Amino acid sequence: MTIARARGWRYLLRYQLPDFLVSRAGLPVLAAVMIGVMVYYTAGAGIEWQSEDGERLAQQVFSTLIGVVITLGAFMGVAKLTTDDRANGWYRSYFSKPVKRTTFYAKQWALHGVTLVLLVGVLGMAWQLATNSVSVKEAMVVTALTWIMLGGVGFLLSVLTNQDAGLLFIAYVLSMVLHSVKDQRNSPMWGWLREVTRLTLPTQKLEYVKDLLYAGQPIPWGHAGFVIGYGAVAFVIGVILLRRLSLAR
Amino acid sequence: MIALREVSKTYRTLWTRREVRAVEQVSLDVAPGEVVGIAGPNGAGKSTLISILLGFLRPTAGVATIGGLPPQEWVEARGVTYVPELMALPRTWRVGEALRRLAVLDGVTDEAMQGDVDRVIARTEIGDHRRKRLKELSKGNSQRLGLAQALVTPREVVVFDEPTHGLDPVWTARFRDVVADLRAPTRAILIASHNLDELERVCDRVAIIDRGRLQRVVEVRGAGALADAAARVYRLRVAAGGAAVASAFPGARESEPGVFDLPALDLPAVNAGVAAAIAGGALVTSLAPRESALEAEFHAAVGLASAPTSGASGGRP
Repeated sequence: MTIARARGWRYLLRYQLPDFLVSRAGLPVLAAVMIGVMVYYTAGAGIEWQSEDGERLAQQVFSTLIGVVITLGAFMGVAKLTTDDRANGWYRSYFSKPVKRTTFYAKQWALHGVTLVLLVGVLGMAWQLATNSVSVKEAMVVTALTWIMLGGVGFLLSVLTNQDAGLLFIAYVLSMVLHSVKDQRNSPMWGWLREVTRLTLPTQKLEYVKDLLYAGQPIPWGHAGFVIGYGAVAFVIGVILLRRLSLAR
Repeated sequence: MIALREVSKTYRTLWTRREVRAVEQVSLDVAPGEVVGIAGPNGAGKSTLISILLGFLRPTAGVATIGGLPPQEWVEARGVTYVPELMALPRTWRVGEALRRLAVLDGVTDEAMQGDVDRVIARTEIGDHRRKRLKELSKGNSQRLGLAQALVTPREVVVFDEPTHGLDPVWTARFRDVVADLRAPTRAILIASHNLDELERVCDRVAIIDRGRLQRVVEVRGAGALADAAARVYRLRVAAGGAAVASAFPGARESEPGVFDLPALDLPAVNAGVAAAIAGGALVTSLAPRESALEAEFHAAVGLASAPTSGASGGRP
């Protein structure tokens, strides 16, 4: 019997890619498509998409809808990435085979991220074809940054706990609230809480990068770099712990 | 090939930090060509040991190796043929799809895929269920799927965790053929089971574990195997002449009319006693050991109170 060396890639593209499209990315993409079609035929009726107003509406609808796809897609893409396999005992069948657990999940994580970025690109181009020029490339960059930040922290949480999806959501909402309070002028926030806020997800930096990109400005690498570093560190810690901790839960 | 050296695993409860010792200082070797069983009552630590051996759990103390490597390294590099107690996979998968997915992870090429999957489906006779979703399978068919996925690529190390759990008597018997087919000079086979009868039929040695500790290792085949001539408790059934039996075996206990549990005796003494009983008018219908040699060893090791029940579920870490 011939044993293939490229088993990981075959499994990834043949099974994990369709799994991601059907069970994780399907819902946000479908919701965005349905709302997009609805907006196009109702709110957009009578609008000349090539006009200045049309261009503004096209961009507004695009950034709102794609924002939902990006955030929801990132959440659904990373939630329970290792948790389901471990909590349900499925890992016993996968990892008695000659498969490296870290490579298996790292590849799956990367695949989910890349596919999400490409899906945003496809949706953006479809909207662009139907309406007017919108910030597709910029949206893809924002998707990548969102995936690295949320995906990295989500991956670490899924290695550590069965409650990863809920904790990621709480961490995300809490970060947004804390950062918005902290960034207010004359913020009433205590000093220690300011320091704690610095450690939370850099949602405000991601928002800043997004706003600049959608406004046609160049990418602010300082903020983008922080977002990438934050997510990447969490992901790497997740990979190391996955290697060192017991798979059984 | 498989070596466990003073392996211990202790869990701590989350809040009280109370220690639960699942496995304590277990040492065991399985050489290539050997079939070794692990027997023990519920919660004895069998499944924990297997999880350690497959690299799913890290021991708290001691060392486990396969072929000289830490289990995780060995499994990631060469794989292990493994049949879990309960075949756990996403319930929406179909049988054929599950086999193909696991075969890809096993490294089966596209060219060999169809032939290999067809072969194991035919071997385990689950062809009728090929298109069924896993949630539609009975426990027995699910277990046969577990066997099928393991047989796609037999490896140097084979681990069965309660392999006959949920199987009907026909398939329980066929499991012996599977083990016989897998037996090879270069292959080490480990079987954890409650089913002492099965272990005695297929294993060379059986390690008896209770309360996380290795109580004893019993040779059931080969030079050191339990000899039939050793003193054992026999059960004698007679159609008539109970008084002659009682007279021939002074310590015999009549558990029900015509059924006598003889005291522990060696074969010559049993034969002499039976001859005397027949001469005295007893009409013997059967004579057999009251329990198998392994059962006797098991009961001696863990006590009758914790005797295993065939098909019962073991504790999982």
